[in-house]
Amino acid sequence: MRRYIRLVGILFKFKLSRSMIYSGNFWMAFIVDFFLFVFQLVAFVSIYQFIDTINGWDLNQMFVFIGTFSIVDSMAMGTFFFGIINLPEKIRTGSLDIMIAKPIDTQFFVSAESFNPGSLFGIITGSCMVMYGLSSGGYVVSMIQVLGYILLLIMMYLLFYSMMLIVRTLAFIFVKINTLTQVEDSVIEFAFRIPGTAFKGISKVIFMVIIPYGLIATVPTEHITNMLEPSQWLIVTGITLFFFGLARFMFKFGMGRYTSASS
Amino acid sequence: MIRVNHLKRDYYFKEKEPGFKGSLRYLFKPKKVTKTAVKDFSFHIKKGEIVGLIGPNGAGKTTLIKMLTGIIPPSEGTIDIMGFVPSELKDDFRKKYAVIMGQKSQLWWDLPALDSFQLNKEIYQIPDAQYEKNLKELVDIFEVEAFLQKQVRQLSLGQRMKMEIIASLLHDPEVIFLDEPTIGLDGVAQKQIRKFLKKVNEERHTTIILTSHYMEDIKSLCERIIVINDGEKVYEGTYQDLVNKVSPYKIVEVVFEIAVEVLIELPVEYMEKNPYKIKMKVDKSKVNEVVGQLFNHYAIEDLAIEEEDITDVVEKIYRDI
Amino acid sequence: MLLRKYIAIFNVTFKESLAYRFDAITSAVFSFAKIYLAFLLWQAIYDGKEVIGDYTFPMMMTYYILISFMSRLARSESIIWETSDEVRTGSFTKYITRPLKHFNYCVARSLSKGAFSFAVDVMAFAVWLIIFRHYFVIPSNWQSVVFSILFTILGLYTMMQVHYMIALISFKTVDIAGPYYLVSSFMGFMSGSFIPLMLLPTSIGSILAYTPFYYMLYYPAALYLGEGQDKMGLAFIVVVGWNVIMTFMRRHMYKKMLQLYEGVGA
Repeated sequence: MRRYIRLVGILFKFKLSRSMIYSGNFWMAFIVDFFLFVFQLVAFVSIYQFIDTINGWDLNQMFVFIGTFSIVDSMAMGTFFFGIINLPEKIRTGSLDIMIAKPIDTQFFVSAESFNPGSLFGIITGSCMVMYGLSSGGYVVSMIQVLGYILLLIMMYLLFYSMMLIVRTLAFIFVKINTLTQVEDSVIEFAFRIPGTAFKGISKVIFMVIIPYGLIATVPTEHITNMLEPSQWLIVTGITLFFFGLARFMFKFGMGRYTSASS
Repeated sequence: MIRVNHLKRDYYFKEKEPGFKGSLRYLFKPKKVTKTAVKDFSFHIKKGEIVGLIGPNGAGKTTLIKMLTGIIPPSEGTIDIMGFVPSELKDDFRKKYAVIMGQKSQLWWDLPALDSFQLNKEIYQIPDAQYEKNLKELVDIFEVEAFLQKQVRQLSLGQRMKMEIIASLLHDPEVIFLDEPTIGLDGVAQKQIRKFLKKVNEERHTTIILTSHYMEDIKSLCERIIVINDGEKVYEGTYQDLVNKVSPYKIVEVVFEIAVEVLIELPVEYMEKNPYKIKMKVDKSKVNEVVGQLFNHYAIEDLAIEEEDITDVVEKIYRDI
Repeated sequence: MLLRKYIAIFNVTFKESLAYRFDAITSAVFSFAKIYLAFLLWQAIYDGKEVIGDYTFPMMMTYYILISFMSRLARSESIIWETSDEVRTGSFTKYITRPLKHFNYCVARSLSKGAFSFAVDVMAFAVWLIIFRHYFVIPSNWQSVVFSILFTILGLYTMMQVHYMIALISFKTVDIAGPYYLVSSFMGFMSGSFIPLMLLPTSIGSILAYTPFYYMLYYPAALYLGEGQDKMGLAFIVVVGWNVIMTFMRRHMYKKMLQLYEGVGA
């Protein structure tokens, strides 16, 4: 365990010094995300000109939601995102070989290989947004609630990680998964960026349970704005553990099917 | 140390037939095609041996290396390396070997090689003292001190391959697998790498298994070679035996003191013939006789007897065996 | 004839696309999944409301259906990745040594890919139209359809110019993804692919109306929905003006950038 923490440290340092060499790239992902964050904000502020609530959510809750989304997204972009997104390419070209031959867990290596330190700044801007939403909505938040919120953020981060990894482990079997990642893109764009409260009936089942992108930013928001029922903690924990386990299983299973780009 | 028994590896492809109908069928009921890359392959390797794997492109050499290192599991058969089953990918197993693939780099492109070495130190949990000692030794041998702080992308191919080898040997592996380690390198760098591998083998009794296109690598390094063709083992033994087996000829080159016309009948095949010099292919059993005759009849300034050109031999191996 | 070689490029590209037609069909069907998600979101937002902005719920859905169809026609993004690849590997040399204009080559290829997408997407589009038939607005007069198509074509050309200029940055940096995502996130928002631009505060909206982005997706879709016909003269001047400016810009850039080309291999 200590070894893995040290490895994370070294890999992080690597990416940091790499970004020093290409200073433009250091900020690029953050800047892109920051603008998307602003656009999302502008879009919802514009929509709220015409309405008061979306399924019970007012504009302040929407601020908290957008901030929460930005925090989880930045955590992902800063850590595993770029490593995971390259997995299909590594499978296709066989450059995964070198990583498999190393005496560390391959899934860990793939996930921790491409930190993107610049993105982590999004956590700050996101947090500011959350605090603004909470204060202008007049929410009084206890310390326990904040701890719960952080715990949920970590869980949702793991859920996001698992979802992304599961889709990409399919490249072990199908090699080309472009169509799938395209669908994932549009699901992320909407299911992730719009509040889960918009989902009803069958779509609620789809986006909150089967492909639970809808949970990721919604659940922490509901918790901190006093809308999450205690029983939902159980469901959310269950879903997270299930998908985390599934991701692990899929990765192991995929490795068994790995053919390495034919010699 | 390495025992491989009845190894087999199949690859499955889905074949797509042309046309829209073919595409539809591909989606619902694809035609499966099996290609056997390695079949019924067995061999044993003792500690401290250097074994060469040779064969034409696509013969299955790389597939074999990938199975030995656990990167891909075999379809059938067993591999036992120092008591481990490679495909289980135990950390303890992976700490005991190193694999160097000429085409795939483990170095971080944008960072100095030294950074990649430090990463490996952590990955392989190499104690400080051992790391320092090995690093110094390896850097000295390859004379790459000056390039340690340079970004890998700025290194020449030869320098990069040396760094690649250093990165792989810091943890004192007991077995080294090399897949085309000298591909694309110039003569000097090739020689240096060969010399180094020999040294590592002698000093540390490291077992080395390598594949190469360059017969010079194989000839100068390997005590034993295994020839693979079309996934099957077609030969196992020493280099010399192989040459004897496939090439019953020697090349005899004679330079005359004065211009002559060779009129006597010789049991040879001429490759070059002019008044000052002849070059011919001679059956090994007849070399003495031919040379004797030439000395009897002509004034000879220089004479050379050589093995047939190795590249030719190799081509023959693939054709004949 | 000068045009013939570009027609040949169009044809070759079309054949190339044909080889991947099955992938193209599946990805077309799924890419319209966005429409479904937009449906869910806007259903929740309308929730009993008749009109938001100037749009009824069916108009809003029609808007999303139209723009997702239009953005599938814009295939010029691939110019960026191809050029970046060619510059890096040195195969860009082929445009220098052969009597080909790189921009025209890219136009021919994008047109061909767009035409192919059109053929494929019409089918996928039909499926989604049937699903959302209750929410698809049929325009009241034929003019709005014609003008909408004209402005769509202009918009696609503008988009191509922008993509082309991003592609030219390849000569300066290997890592083209950063500039690409930056520009495309801007373009996505300002062209109306997030939300219809008339929902934005009027001040922002009226500034955007002077940018080329406004006319890439939003304006053609609005025309179809019967809005904005009165501003067509201004719209035309703005779009054409921007295209003239961009033509000069991209020619100048091409000349400058070509001096940076090293023509190296690997």
